Amino acid sequence: MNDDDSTKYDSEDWLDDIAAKIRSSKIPAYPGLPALDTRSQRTPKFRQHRIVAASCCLAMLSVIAITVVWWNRPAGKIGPEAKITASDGDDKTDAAAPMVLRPIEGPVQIISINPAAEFTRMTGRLDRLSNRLNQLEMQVSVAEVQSEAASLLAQYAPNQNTER
Amino acid sequence: MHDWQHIAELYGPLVWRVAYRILQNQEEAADCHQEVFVDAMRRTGNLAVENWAPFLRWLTVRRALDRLRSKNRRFNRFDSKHHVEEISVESVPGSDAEWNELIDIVRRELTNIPASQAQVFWLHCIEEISISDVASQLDVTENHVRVLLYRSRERLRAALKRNHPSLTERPKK
Repeated sequence: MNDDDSTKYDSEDWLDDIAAKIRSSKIPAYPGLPALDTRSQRTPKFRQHRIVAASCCLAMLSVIAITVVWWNRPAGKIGPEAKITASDGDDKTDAAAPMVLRPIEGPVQIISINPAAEFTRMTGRLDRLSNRLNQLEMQVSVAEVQSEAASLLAQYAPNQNTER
Repeated sequence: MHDWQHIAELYGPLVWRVAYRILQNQEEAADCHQEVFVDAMRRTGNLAVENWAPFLRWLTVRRALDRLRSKNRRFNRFDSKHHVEEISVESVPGSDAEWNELIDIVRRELTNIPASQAQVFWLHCIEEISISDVASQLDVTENHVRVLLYRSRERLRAALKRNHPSLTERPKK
């Protein structure tokens, strides 16, 4: 037997020994797997993937829907119906306009709303205003803005009703 | 119509054992178990099966090796070191590290050689199925099985030498 043959023989023995080791390796007890799902014929992992895929699709559809609504929103800024001032008296109405992203510091309050504004239009504006305040991360809670807005709306709602 | 629940109860442990030996991971083995029976349903339909054990054993080896192969490919895309770590997870508890390393090399190399060679090696050398039974299961001649076996052993032997040059000394059993 030459060197090559002896190497081959050794290696084959190695493989056989490794095979024997694999055969004798410890195997966990059969877990008694659940009944076969013959209807769906899907593996558990596949079902998980399907759920993840469905969730992603829903999220994507939501984003698309929100984007469409956002682009089709009524044109116009927050003012002049609503006016926003900072605690130092600065007029921040423009800063809170929809396309402005710079933050406004200090407490904010709605100090005036044009009484002539239509009720439905005003509702939309106030909703957007409260969203914008929230988006700008100002030091005022959305609940505060909403309660302020609600009181202002309550003040002007009778006008709207009488118009109709 | 086959009684699949009965067949699964009867041969489930066999399928589990073969799948776990290859995959070395309980979750993967459980998924493979499910896949094997679903595949068996598709393949057999209402056809009579003479002997379920060799058929399911072959199907399990095939499915498990496919799974191991795709898993290794996935990890190879990112990092070859990561791949080695992943393949070592849950590997043969209780045996010494050197043997585990050799077993990992063999398992890894089995994913790099053609599927038919890997199946023949595993069925004959690990599951100890005779050459003639492997041939009838794979629907090829015995000579062809011998050729596949020879080639697979050559590849594995080369991989062992490449990854473990000091193979002249055997680890203690």
